[in-house]
Amino acid sequence: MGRFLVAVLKAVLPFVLGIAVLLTVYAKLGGTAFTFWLSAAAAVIPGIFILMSEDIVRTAFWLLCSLTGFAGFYVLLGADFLALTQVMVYLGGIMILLLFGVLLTAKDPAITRRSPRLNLIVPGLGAAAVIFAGIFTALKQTTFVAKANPEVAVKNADLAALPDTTVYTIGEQLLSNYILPFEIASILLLAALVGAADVARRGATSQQSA
Amino acid sequence: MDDALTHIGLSHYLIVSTLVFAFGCAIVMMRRNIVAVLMGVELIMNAAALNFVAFERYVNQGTDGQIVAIFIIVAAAAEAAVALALALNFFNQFDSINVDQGSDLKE
Repeated sequence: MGRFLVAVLKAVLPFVLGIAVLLTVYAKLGGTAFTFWLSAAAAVIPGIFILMSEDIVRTAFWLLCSLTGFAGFYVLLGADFLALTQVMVYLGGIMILLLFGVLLTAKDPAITRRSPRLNLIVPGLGAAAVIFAGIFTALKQTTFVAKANPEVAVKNADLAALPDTTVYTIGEQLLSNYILPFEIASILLLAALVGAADVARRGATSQQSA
Repeated sequence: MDDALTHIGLSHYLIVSTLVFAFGCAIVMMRRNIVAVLMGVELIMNAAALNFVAFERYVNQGTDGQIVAIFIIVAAAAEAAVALALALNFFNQFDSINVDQGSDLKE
């Protein structure tokens, strides 16, 4: 009985501690900042695991975590329609597609079960660090000004109140100002759909005949 | 210090999106699995879309940036479908998903 209790405690304690830590941080930061930092952690930390993970299926689920973090950002930035689109298209569509890709190509254990080698790690990480440092310095040296009031730098206090929903404005703009990109996007999707089906099918038939 | 933690401004979003962009680049350069490379491309596209939405909220204060982000999602969906079809073809042809195997233009 005592051993059972210890096992239950061991399983439950990390969750209780984690929730306690999260609640403390929430009380200290307030809702907006807490949601931002939670989303930032969800968006950035999976990058390390996608980079290093040996198992491609786990990689896919880390990507899922990262994309959810981006949906959190969109909610914070008042883009409600975009947050829902992110969840439906990325988490519902592209992730399933990637997982199908993983399953259909899961025949090469040498590559799926191997983390990157050193001769790739050094130049890869070096180039990524240079990219980050370059953009970061550029951001540091730039002052962004609000369009409505070009005299002052952007501050949270100057922000307009969030509208209840952006769906109406987005719908109107898509069918007026953005009608040409909208139509081009529909043609692009049609072409991609037909092209992808054709390319994938041709590969399958060539394998059968070989 | 406390101000930077509690008052979330434009630079916070830009730095996060820069970080994710750099991670995406590193993934594209370092991973040899073709599906993992595609995941890196998705991260890069998401970082770009986040920049558009953050600038829209803090600088322009309309919905134009969100529409650009929607078009980015459309492009990413089309790209994922075509790229996975190509990956399947690549796998059928070379019997491997290591992108280094495809460095020759012809067999």
